[in-house]
Amino acid sequence: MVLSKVEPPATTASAQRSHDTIVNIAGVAKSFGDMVAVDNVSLAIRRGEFVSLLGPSGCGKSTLLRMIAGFEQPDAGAIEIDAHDVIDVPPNRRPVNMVFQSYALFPHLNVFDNVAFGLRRKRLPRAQVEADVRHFLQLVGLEALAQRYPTQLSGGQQQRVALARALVNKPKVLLLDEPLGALDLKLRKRMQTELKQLQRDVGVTFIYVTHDQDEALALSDRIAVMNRGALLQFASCRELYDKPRTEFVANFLGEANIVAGRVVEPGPVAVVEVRGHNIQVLDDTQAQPGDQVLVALRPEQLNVAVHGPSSGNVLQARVKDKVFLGNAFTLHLQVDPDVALIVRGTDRALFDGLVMGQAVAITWPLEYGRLVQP
Amino acid sequence: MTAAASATLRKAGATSAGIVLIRVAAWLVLGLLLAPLIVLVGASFSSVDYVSFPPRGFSLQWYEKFFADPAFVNSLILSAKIALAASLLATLLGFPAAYILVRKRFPGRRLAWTLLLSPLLVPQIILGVALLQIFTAAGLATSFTGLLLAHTVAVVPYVVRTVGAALVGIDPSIEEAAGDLGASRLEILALVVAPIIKGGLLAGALFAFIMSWVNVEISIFLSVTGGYTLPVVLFNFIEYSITTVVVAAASIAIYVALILVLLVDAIVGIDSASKL
Amino acid sequence: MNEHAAIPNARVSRQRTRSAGASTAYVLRQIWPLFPALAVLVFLFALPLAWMLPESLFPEGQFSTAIYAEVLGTSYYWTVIGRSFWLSLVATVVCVILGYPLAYYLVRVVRPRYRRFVFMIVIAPLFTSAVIRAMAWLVILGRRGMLNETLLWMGVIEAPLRLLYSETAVIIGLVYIMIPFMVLTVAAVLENVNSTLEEAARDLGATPLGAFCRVTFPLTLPGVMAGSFLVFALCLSSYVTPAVLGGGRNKVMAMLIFEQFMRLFNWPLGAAISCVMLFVTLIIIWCYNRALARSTGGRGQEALL
Repeated sequence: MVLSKVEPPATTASAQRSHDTIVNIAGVAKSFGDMVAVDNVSLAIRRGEFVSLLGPSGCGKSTLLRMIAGFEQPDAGAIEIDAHDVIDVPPNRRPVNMVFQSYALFPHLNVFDNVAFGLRRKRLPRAQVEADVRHFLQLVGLEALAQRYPTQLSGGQQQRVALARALVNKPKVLLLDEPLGALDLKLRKRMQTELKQLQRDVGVTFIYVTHDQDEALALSDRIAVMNRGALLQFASCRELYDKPRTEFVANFLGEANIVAGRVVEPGPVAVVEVRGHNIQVLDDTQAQPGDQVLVALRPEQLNVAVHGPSSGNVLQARVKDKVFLGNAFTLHLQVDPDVALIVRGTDRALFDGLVMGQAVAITWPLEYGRLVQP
Repeated sequence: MTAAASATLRKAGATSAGIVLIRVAAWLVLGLLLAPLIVLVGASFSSVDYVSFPPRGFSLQWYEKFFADPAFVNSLILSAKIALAASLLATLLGFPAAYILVRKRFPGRRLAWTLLLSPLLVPQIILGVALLQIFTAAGLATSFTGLLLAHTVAVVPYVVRTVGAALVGIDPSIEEAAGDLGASRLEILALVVAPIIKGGLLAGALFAFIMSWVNVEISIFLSVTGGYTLPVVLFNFIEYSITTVVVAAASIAIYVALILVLLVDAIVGIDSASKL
Repeated sequence: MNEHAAIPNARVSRQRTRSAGASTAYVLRQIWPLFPALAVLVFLFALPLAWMLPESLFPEGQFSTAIYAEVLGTSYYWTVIGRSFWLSLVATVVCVILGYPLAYYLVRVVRPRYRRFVFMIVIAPLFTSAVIRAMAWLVILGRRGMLNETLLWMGVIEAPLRLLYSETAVIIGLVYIMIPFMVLTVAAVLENVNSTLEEAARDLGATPLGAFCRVTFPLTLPGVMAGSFLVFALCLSSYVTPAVLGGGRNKVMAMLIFEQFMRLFNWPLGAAISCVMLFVTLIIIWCYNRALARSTGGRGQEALL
């Protein structure tokens, strides 16, 4: 069952393709028995981009990636790589390469032979293979370990071999399936930086699957947020954060207070009644009067004042809890028994001045309150 | 069991009396397992014709007589040839079959898997008569080909099972990675899968060899014109009388068995082999 | 370039003939390496085996259950079948008694250094032909065999014992052949029983023996059952050992089958007895699989046989 009410614009592969598009996914769907893994997803990825497929486990991102690679066949839809329809092309003939979650290094070959594998399948001359392999091993900093075997390498090193092995084939697109999942936090952060740099140096389009929003934000030019097989929003990091289209996206990237309300006046700046207050919110969902809607408010954009305005874009609330975090604080405010809001801030003086149960006014700049789809 | 675990058991105060009892019982049974083989081997060195243990005197003449007797030698050669050919054939048939069964999903997969393993479920004697009937109908009942095919049928399951177990242990992404890097299906099998599971392949072939080598129930039905495998020759002798030369022949088979045990241990480790 | 270009702004949905409703040709192309092995087994194994049922039901081209009536009705055949079951039962019980301690030793007691060596001793007999193992017992149990000579020499008996060509000799021979199967099955199950369970029982006040009786043994019971089914089925269908050690008067089912096919040339009768044996064996193997599944907690191990 598809939850999202965001209807993607009616797409054909050709309709969404531009001269810049390297991977064109149109209306792709895949089910395994009764389970819908990918539901009508359309994406156009540009040359040289770093795109992340982001979502919780089971959202279909890996399945989508595997369909691009050719390991799964879509039930419906089209996939084009560099304007060529690849549906009937087996994985070994597609101009893409994949870095697997488990690295999938060949245990019976050393690092050099692992990296050289793809080149040798193309029957390239020996000298060229040698040169290319050395070049990419240098690029990932492993030229000294060329004779070692995968079992003799650390996780991070194996990861880099997998990268080199894929990139040395000069694919048009590199697919990465949660490649940093098995690494510890510190190593992961370091590898993220290296990956981003590598992508910039090599210039290859990266399609990266992850469930970690911080990772996606750090690495990507654009992020495709998926949930339960559906594509919810595909936009730049900024746009996803500032203008989330659905409740899920708002909650998945960053934090959001989600408050229910009812539309009083429609429009790009709509008036919504929330718990007796009328507030103005940005709306690009074309909500109609009477619609039950959701308002998303970012905790760090909310201002709290003891003597605030009593009308306009304001919500009255009482302090339920205040948490000191050192360089910042969190306030839990109760608007009414059913609606609680979280506010994050750094104003010490304000923080110290608040007491439990105190009445406060919450305001925010107009552009930070918007309607989202459920 | 690990040293830590047995130490724990001892620390938990398991009575040493109980442990001693178990040890004694176990070694008695182990002795029981070894004794008959030792009796045969010992008796083979006796210097007299009638079989006795402990052996009277010491002599290698019965081994000499064995190798001088064409019937014996031919049976040894026939057994070896059949076992070698059957294990090879079984591996050629069984490796691709196991690969498909483990890696691909298709309707009838469970049935195919059961079918390939079912010679192990069926009593050997019934396997023998079934093969007798089909090969008689095909006119191959006394030919080398018939015997070879019959043995192959009987030992394919060992290859399929062993190779299947080895394949299950490989990360399937490795084969996907090979495909992703441009390898054709054949290249994947030959350049990636086979080298990784070569221990399992060898073990499978070895088990097939052993099971063919020791087989009686099929060989008694399908003897080759003018020739029998070694176990059948020994079986026939038993009906008449056992002399020391027969015991020597049996001992040779025991030596071969010991070598095979060491071989299996060298390739996959005997304790993991026991799980198969 | 793309066929959809002709339909602008239309929802794209191209039905695939692959994946879920895979075409037969596609599937066949994927699995063809399986076919040689499958063909060999179907034509040289499954069909001949399946042939035995009609063979026994159509002895002269006419449908008739007369042969089965004979096999299951005549006291002669019942005696043989009954003897097969009895011998198998006794051998199985003895195997459990002898095999369990060895299995326990192998898994819990033996020092790791010697473990492989012990395994070798257990497995080595399996690499010799059944004929050889039976022959060894001929040598040991014969009138001038090792056992008699020793007992005579020790003065325990006056005249040599007639041990051979009796049911006892067959049982001894069967036990010898089957112990490794019992040991390996029980050992595999025992390995899965967490040894800390015994410790926990001791910690709660049980004696070592009590802990074993109340905790370990019950947990291995399904494994013992599995081993027993396995051994029972193997004994029931055993040919060489009873043929060598039993003598002509102690026939078992397998010997009947051999006789009908190779000496009396009454193939339909042989087929009928084979079908009976096959039927019983398959039921027992099914029980074996179930017991094994229970003992490994349904981890889906493939059966040993």
